[in-house]
Amino acid sequence: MKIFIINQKKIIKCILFSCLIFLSIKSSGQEFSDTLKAKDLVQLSFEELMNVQIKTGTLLSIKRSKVPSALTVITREEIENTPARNLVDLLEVYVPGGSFTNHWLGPRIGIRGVMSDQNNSFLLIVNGENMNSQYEKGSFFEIINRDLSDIEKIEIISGPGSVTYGSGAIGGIISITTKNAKTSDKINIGVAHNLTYRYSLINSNFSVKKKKFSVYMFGSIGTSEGIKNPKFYYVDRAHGYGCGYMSETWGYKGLGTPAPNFYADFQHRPEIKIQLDIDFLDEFKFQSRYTNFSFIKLQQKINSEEGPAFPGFYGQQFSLSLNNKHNFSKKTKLESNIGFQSQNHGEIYLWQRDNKPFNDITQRRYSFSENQIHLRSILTYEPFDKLKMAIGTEYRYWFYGTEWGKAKNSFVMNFAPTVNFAVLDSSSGFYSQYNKYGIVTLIDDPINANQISGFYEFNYMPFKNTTILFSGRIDKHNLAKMAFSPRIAFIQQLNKNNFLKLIAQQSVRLPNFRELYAIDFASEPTPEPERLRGIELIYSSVFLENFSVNLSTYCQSVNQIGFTEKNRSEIIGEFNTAGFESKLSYKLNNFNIALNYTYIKQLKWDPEYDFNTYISNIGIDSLDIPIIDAGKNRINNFPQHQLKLITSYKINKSLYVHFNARFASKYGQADMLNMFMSAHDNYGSLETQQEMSNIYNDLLDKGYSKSSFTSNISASYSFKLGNVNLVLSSWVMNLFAVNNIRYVYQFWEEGNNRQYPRQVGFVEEPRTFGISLKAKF
Amino acid sequence: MTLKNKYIILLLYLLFANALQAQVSEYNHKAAFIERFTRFIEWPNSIERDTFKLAVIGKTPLKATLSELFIDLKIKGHNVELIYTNNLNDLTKVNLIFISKSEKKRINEILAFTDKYPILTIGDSKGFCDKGVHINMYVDDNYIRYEINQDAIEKSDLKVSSQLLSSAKIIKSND
Repeated sequence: MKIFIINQKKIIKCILFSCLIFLSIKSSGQEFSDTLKAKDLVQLSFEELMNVQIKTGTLLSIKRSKVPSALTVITREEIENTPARNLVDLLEVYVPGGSFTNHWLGPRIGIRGVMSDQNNSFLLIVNGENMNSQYEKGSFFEIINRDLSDIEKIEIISGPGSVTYGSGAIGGIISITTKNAKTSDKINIGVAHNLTYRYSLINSNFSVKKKKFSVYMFGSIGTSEGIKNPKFYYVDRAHGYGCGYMSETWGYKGLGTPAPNFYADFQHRPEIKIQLDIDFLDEFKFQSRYTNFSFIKLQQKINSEEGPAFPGFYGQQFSLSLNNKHNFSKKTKLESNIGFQSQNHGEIYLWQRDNKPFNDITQRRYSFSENQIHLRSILTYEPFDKLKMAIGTEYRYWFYGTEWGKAKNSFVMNFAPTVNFAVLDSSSGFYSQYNKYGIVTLIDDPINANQISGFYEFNYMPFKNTTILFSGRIDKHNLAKMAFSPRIAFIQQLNKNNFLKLIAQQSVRLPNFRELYAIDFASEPTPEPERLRGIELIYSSVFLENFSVNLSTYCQSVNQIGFTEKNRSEIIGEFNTAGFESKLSYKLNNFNIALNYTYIKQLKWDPEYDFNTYISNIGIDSLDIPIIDAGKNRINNFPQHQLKLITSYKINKSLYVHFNARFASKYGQADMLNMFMSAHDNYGSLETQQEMSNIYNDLLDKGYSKSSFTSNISASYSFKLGNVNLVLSSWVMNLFAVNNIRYVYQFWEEGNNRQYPRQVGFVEEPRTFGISLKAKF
Repeated sequence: MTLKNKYIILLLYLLFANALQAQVSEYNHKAAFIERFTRFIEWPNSIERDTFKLAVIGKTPLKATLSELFIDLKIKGHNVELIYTNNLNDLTKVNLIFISKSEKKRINEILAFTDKYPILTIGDSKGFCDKGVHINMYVDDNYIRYEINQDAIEKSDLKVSSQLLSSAKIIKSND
């Protein structure tokens, strides 16, 4: 067994180096790109001028029109005025081609054909910090929090981005910037209530701005009862044999229960956000943030000693960071960061059902904390107008332990075989319950890992209107092979307002810590990372300040990692896609309108395994119905066509109206359904054919796999009461909707038996009403 | 070389580099914003003698940038005449005044004067907008942002585009 031993000398060196940098610098003026003269700047559109310093997707400051990625920016005004339950709703409204499905374990984000059984193909960045869970969950926190009033903007890169932020950004980057003392009012108090999801929240912020010192504090708390008796359609023959809306009469074996309240707090845990930012001496920023959330799993109730209950999970996250941005000279600047993060993860699975209480350790799938310390420095040097360069390094160290404040024997962590479940203490009830089955490993040594990374970017202008961007990042995780993410981008300014960008890159995703640790534990060969190789062509244009066009076409190839019957995530095949994205925006005085159209097509699927499976109707009949080449559609969780409309109109000083709509067609979900139907037709008995036919027709009646439409509207009214500015908003989600169902995430495992279309399921998201009141002092 | 020596040399380098630190100009950005603001403002009278008069009061590094920018750049199709003065009587016929930080003590006096004319007032000092300056620029996390005193601008004879308002932080006057 190989156990990683921390190289203390390296850590001391890194800490010493960072302290040195922090200690040796003094205050300086604000940083601005000096290479852009006023004469260049007046050529920019207003939107570009407002965003001259945008940095998401690159190490160097670059104009938005030159960012070598398909970038979507959701502004504070859009966040405040768009009907949305959470961040993933906003993503679906604004990101061309962006959508999400519901896994039993929460929403799964999808962009450009990339969607996984965990959100680990996307990187979640908050104020520049990578907040992904390394264990297996990826972008886990922040995405379903209901209160978004602390967010200043959200930047989303569609497609690969690990060249800038490191392993994991195969599908995209979601970068959140929170409000701060400079961008918020002195005091804000807000309340909101959603009548349908039965959630209420209250938030407040307070800020103090002094010359060399500013403080920003934000806090919010909210509770949600969720939608009572949601229309949750569920097909399953393995766990009760039934199909239809989940209810007490669901299924033929009497195993139906009421459906879980949709988007309700799990175990009545309130959702809380707390933020404290302190800016001092012009160039230092201290940030701390706490968020939590919980989720009831989408399935039936399961018995426990206290009676039937829904399983679920929860997470808590706390982070601290100290940032410094220092200009050594007009041409040289250094950004340094030191930070700590801790994430609590807990899932109650109800393994022991009615033999044990609901919260007993033997009912858990995991209960642990993931902790991280990191150090990062980026040195930027801009010697000439034509040449800019940046070079950086990052060290991250993770260690795993019990949930905050809990005893050592409460620790349970679920790894891939051969570790399976890990416990730290033989007195653990989990250990004594399951050790006899050979699925628990007692770990004596610290569970930890580290990664050192180096990254660079060169921005060179060989000709007046031509920019070449060379970037790359190397990540060396102590349990994985070295991963290299290079990118080259050519940016041609065709004339004042027209840009053409050609980008070629490789983006990587290391296997989850869940796999890496287990593979290392078993002394098996180090696994390969998932690699996305892609090429993208982007054209962007601005006409007359008011009208802008962004067109993008891409082609990408992934050696896809999938969850297999070995209970591991492994490389399962090569998957190639191509797509087209367009965005047209028009602004006229108080009226804004944007129209996005996207198309995606699978070009190739070359599996590593035979994805042949068969339907074995356990307990019903003895037929083994084969399905050959089962998982051949790798974009089975996406509509091929998506058209999105976003409009807003400021009617007068007080009244603001927003409307958005989404049309989607040619859903990949149809493939699984047709595959099962065809298998039954070819190999089933008359009885199973009839059953399958009934399921098929019922699903189609409910709109499954059919073209869909939905629309949302909101209105905000601003008024003054004494010295207080008030904003009263109301919104309706799914105002007009046709076949608007939220699909359950579909995935295929190699070689597993499947009964009927097991992963066919959806929630009919209803028309939703909400209201909020905000007071600004 | 020992590890200790390496860090001492690095420390000296960082300190030395710090001493060489030059002021990095944010004024290129601010000058561009001033030009941009004029595109979204309508003045009530035709601009006299085909010249747009832009005045700067007080001490500011912006002067050099504006001089360079407006050598051949026009505002609303007119040549730009730059006026650098501290005397309010020179300002009766200007279209736009940039009020420098150095004029903080006499801001009320300046505004009492400019309020009589259709003059767009722009500043880049904290609290100027509260006092009644029409547009005030500020730095937010490396971005230039601006606030607009909507009451003040509505009281003047100037018309402001909602597009400009939509990206601004709206400020009310300290009455």
